[in-house]
Amino acid sequence: MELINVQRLNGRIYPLLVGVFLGTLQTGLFLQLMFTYSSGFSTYLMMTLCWLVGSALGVSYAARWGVRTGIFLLAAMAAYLTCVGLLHLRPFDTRLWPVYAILIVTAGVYPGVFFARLSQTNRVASIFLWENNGFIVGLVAGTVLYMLIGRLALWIIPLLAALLLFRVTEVQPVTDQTS
Amino acid sequence: MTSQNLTASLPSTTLKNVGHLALSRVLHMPRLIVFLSGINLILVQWVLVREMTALLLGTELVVLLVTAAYFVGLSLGYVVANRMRRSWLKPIALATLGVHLGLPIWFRLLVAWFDSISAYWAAFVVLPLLTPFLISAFYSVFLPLFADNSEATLPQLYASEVMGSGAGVLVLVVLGAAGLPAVYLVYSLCLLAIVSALGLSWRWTSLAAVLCAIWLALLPEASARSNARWYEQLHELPRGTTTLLSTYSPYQKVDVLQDPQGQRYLYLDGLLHFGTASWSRLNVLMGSVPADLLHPQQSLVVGAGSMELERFIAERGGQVTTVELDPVVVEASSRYLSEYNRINELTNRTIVVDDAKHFMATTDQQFDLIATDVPAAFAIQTATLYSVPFYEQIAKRLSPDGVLVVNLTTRLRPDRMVSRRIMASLLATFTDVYVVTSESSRLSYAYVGNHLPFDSLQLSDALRQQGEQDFIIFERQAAEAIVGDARPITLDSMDLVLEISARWIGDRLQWN
Repeated sequence: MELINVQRLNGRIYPLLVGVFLGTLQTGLFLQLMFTYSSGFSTYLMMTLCWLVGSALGVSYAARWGVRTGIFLLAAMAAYLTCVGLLHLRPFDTRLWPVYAILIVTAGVYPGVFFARLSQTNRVASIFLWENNGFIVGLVAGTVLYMLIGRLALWIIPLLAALLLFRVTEVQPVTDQTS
Repeated sequence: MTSQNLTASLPSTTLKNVGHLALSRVLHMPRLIVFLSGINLILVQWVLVREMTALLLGTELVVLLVTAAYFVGLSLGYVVANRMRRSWLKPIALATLGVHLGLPIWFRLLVAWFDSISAYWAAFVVLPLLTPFLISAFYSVFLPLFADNSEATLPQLYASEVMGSGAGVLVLVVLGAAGLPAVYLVYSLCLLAIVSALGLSWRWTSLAAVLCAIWLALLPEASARSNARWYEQLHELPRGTTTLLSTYSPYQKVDVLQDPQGQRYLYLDGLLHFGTASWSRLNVLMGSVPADLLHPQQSLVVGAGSMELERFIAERGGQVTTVELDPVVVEASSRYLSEYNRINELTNRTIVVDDAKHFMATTDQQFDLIATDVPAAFAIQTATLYSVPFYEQIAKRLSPDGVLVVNLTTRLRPDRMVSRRIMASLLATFTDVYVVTSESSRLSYAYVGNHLPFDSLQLSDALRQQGEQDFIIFERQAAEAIVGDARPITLDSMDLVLEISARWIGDRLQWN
C-alpha cells in the first residue's frame, strides 16, 4: 500500500518538478538573451527552434542511450549556466549565435529523454498533465520572482529544481518499441 | 483481372469512396494528426497572445495571464484525453474551427460589449477563463489519447508534435507578414486534414472547406470593422472611425485608424502611441526644442512610433537615424503617417531595424542628440530601455557635449513612482540634468548629459519659441529632492514593472 502511494506521488511530483525546472529554465534563457544578446525576433526563433530540435533528438535517440537521465539533466543545467556566463562575458555578441544554438539544443535534449523514459512506466496523459502544470508554475514563478528579486531568481530556481530532481526516481533507458 | 480492369468495372460512386478511403488511410495516422496539431497550436497561440494582449491593454502581467491560460488549456486536454469518446472529436473539431477562425472578431466584440455596459473588468475574468476551454485544450487531447491506447509510441508522437511546432514557427516566419488570412489559410487546411483523418465524411469535410473559404474571403472586412468598433468603444474614438491597418507583428499588434475628421492614430498592443494634440506636443518637446538648442549634426531616435519626432529634428538639418525593433511599426508609420513624419520628403534620415540595446552596444557612431521615444515600462522588455545599463550605453555614444532627452512617462512628482525611478536611473548615469514639466503634454521630460551645452535660461527660451507657455524647469538638486529614495531601474530591480502592471489591472478591475 505504501509502495503504491509512493509510486503515485512520484508519478506526479517527478513530472511536476521537471515542469517547474523547464519553465524556469526557458524563462531564464529567454529573459537573459533578451537583456544582453538581442530582443529581436531572431533570438526567439533561435531559442524556440533549437529547443524543439533538442527535444526531438532527446525523445528519438538520446532516450535509448545507456546514460542516466540525471546526466542529461546535468547537461541541460550546464548548458544553461554556460549561456548565462557567455552572455555576461560577451554581451550583445551576436556572432556567437552558433554557440548559443548548440547550448540550447543541449538543454532541449533533457525533456525529450524524460518524456520517452517515463512513458514506459506511467500513463502519458498523466505525465504530460503534471509536467505541464509544473511548467505553468515555473513560467509564472520565474517571471514574477525575477521582477521581485532580480536575476538571482533565474539562477537559483532552476538550480533548486534540478537538485530536487536528482532525489526522485531514476528512470531506465527506453527499450526499442518501434512498431 | 488487372487493377485497371478492376477499377474500370467499378461504378463511379464506388470510385469516389475508394479515393476517399485511400486518402483516409494516408491521413489516419496518429503521427500526422499530432504533427498537424503541433502546427495549429503554435498558430492559434500567436493569434491569441497578440489579440488578447491588445484587448486587455498589454502589460507584463497580462501577457503572463494570457500565456498561463493557454497552457492551462493544454492541461485540460490531457485531463479529458482518455475520458473522451472518439465520436465526440469530429464535432468538437468542427466547432473549434469555427471558434478559432472567428476568434479576433468575437473577442473584440465581446470586450467592446463589456465596456459598453461598464463592465470592462469582466474581460479580465472571462477571456482567461474561456481560453483554456476554447483555444488550446482540443489539440492536446491527441498525443496522450494515441499513446495511451498504443496507436503509436510516445517517442514517435512527441517527435511528431515537436516537428509540427517547429513547422508552425516556420509558417509564421514565412507567412506572418502576409497577415491573418494567410496564417488562417494554413490553419484551416491543417484542421480540415485533422477532421478528415478523424473520419469525417468527404461531404462534410468539403462543406467545411467551402465555409472556411467564404469566411477567409470576408475576414479582412470583418476584422477591420470589429477593430474599429473596439477602438470606438474602448478609446472613445468618434463613430465612423475606420481601420487603415491592423496586423500582428512578431512583437505586438499594430493598428492605424482614421477618424471621420481625418485624424490618424497609431496604437501598439491597444495602447495609444500617436494621434492626439498632446502627443504631438511630446514630439515638439523631445525633437524641436533640443534640435533648436543644439543644431545637431548626428541625431538618434530610439523607437519609431509616428516618426514625427524625427521629422522635427530633420527639418533643422543634420543626419537623423531611427533605431526600431519592429519593422511593421516602421512600415505602418512610413505608409500611413507620412503626412506627419514627411518620410518621403526629408532625405537626411536613416532607419535601422535592430534592438536598441544591441545597436547601442555595437555601433561606433557618436551622436549629438539622442531621444528615446519608447513605450512606458509596462513590460520587462520596454523597462530595460529605462535602465541604468542602457543609459550607460547611451552615455558612451553621446558626443562630448551631447544631450539625451527622455520622456519620463508621467509628471515628475513625489507621488509618481515611475517618473522618480526613471529619473533615479538618469541621475545615476549623468551629471548635468534639467527636467521640464509641460502643461501642454501633461508630462515631464529629462534633458541630460555630462556637459550640457545650454543653461536653464536658454532652455526656457527654446521652450517658449516652440509655443510652450506653461512649464516648470527643475535643476539637478530639485530633481534629486523629488526623486528622494527611489531606486534606479536595473536588470535586477524590475519590481516597477510588476507594480505598474498590477496597478494597471487593478484599475481596470476597479479595485483602486
